[in-house]
Amino acid sequence: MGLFLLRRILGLFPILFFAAMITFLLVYLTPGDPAIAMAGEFATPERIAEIRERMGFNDPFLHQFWSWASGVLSGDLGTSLFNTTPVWDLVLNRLPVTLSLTLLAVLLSVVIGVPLGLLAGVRQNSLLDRVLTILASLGIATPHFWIGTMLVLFLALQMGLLPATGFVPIRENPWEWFLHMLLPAIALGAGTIAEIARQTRSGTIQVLERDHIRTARAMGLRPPAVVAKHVVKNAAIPVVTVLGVQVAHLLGGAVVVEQVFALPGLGQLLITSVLQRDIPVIQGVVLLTAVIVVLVSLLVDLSYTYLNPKVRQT
Amino acid sequence: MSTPSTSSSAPSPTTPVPTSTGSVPPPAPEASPGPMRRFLRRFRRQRLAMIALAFLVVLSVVAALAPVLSPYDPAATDVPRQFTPPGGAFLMGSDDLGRDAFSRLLYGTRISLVAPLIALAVAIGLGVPFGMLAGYVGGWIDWLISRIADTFMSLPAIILAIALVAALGPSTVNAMVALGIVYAPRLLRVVRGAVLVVREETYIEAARSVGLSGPRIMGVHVLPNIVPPIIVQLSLMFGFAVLAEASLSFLGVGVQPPDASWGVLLRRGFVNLYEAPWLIVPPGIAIMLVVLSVQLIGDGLRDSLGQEIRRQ
Repeated sequence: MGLFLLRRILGLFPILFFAAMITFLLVYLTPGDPAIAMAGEFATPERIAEIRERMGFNDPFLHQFWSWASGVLSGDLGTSLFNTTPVWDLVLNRLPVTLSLTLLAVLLSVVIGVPLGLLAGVRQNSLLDRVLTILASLGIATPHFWIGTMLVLFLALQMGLLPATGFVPIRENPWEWFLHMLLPAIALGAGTIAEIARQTRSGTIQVLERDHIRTARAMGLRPPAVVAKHVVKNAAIPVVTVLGVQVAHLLGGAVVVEQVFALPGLGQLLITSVLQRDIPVIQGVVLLTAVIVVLVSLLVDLSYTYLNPKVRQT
Repeated sequence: MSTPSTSSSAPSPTTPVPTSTGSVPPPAPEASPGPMRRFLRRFRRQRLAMIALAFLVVLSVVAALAPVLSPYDPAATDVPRQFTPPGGAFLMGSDDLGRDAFSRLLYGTRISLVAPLIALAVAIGLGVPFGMLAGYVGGWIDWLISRIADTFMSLPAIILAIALVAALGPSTVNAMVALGIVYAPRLLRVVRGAVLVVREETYIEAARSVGLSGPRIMGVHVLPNIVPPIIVQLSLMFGFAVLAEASLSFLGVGVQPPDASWGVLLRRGFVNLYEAPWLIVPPGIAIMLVVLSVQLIGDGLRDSLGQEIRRQ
C-alpha cells in the first residue's frame, strides 16, 4: 500500500512538469512575434516593447522557462496583461464557481445515475432498461450547452420554475445559490448521469451473475437485500472509474455551460482572456485545471485501494 | 512456413501466403489484405451501424446538394421579415437578419461535417507516427512520448483547445487544428497499444531477420495491421470533434462567420433566445443525431475488430 502510494505520487511529477512546459509553450505557438500578437491591433511600439519586456521575450529560452516555472512554484502566475491584477487572484476568484458547479454535477450524476443503473441492471431488458439505454446514448450525444439552453427555454422561461441565469454566492444565500446552480448542474451532468447509469447497469448485471450472489439468494436473502449488501460495492468500481475520467470532461464542459447561465466562473475568465489574447491568464487557467485533474485521478486511484483490496498488493 | 501465431486464429481459407513462400529463405512477407477485409466483412453485418452509416451518407448528400435543396440563399438578409416564426414563408423561421433558418441549417451541414475532418487529419498526422515510434522503439523514447501524451490527456479537451486557439488566433482552421492537437494523444495511445501487439508477431521478426530497416518495417508491415483499431478510434473522435466544434463555435472561438456551422447557428439562436426560441432547436437536434450515428458506427466498428486486437 505504502509503496503503491509512493510510486503513484512520484509518477505525478513528470506529468506536472510537462503540463507546465506545455502551458509555457502556448506563448510560442503564436504565429509571428508573440509580443505583437498579444499587444493587439492598434498597439504602439512602446506597448509592444513593454509586453516583450514583461513576458521576458528578450531573454534566452531556457532562462525564460526557468524564471516562469520558479514563479509558478512560488505561487506567482504573473499578472494580467490588461490590468495589473495577479493571475492567481483572478483565477482564485473564479475557481469556486466552476468547482462548485462541477461538484454539483458529479453529485447529481451519482445520486441519479447509480439508482437508475441499479434498477435497469436488476430488471434487465425491461421497458425501464430499454428507455434508459436510449436516454443514455442521447445524453452522451448531446452538447451540454444545448441541454442547458433547452432547460432555460422550457423550465425557466416557459414555466418559470427556476431562475434562468445569474449567480448567487453560497455564503450570501445557500438556497438561492442552489436554485441558480441546479439547471446548470443538470445540463453539465446529463451526459455523466447517462454514462454512470450505463456503467452501473453493466456492473450490476455482471455482479448478479457471480456465484456468491447466487448463494446469497439461495440462502433466502431477498433481492433488495442482495443488491444493498453485495451488488452496490462491487458495482461501485466502474462508477469511480467513470467519475475519474469524467472530471476533466466536466471541467471543460463547465466552461461552456457557464456561458449559457452567465455564471462568473473560469469559463467567463477564459473566454474574455482569449478575446483579449491575455496569455498569462490563459496559462493560469490551463495549469490550474491540469493540477485539479491530476489530483482527482490520484484520489480515484486511492479509492480503488479501498474498494478493491486486490489493487493494494500490486 | 510461418508458425501459427495469435493472429492466424481465424482459419480463413483465403491466405495464400504460406504456399508461395514455403521453402525458400523467407523474403519480406507480403502485407496480407486479411485483417482489413475481415474487419469490413464483420462490420457489414452490424445492422444498427449500417443504418447509422446510411443516415450519414444521406446527410453528406444533403450537404453536397445544399445549393439545390435550399429554398433561400443562406446569406440573403431580409431585415423587415426578421424573427418570422416557423411555418409560413420560412420552414424553420427566420433569424435576426431575416435569413432562412432552414437554408442555413442545410449549408451548416457542410462545415459541421467537413471541419472535424481537419481535426482528424491533424490527429492522424501527429498521433500515428509518434504512436508507432513509441510502440516500436520502446525505451526512453516511449517513456517520453507516453508521458507527454498523458499530460495532454490530463488537460480538459475544451480548455486546451480554447487556449490553443488563443495562441494560434481565432479562425475556423486554427480551431480544428487545435482540436486535432488535443485528440492526437488519444489516437497515439491506441496506435502505440496496437503496435505493441503487432510487434511480437512472427512476420515482424521475419522482416527484421532479413535486415529490413525499422522505418520500412513500420510502414509496410506494421501500419496495415493496425489500421482497424485506428479506424475505430477515428470514428469515435469524429463524434467528439463534432461536439467540440459546436462548443467552440458556440463560445465564439471556433468556426468564424461568415462560415456557419451548426455550432455558429446555436450561438445565434442563443443570442436571440427570447425573440426567436425556435432557432436553437434544429441545429441541436442535428448535432445530436450525427453524434449518435457516429457512436453507433463506432460501436459497430469496435465489435468488428478481430479477437487478436480487441483483447489487448
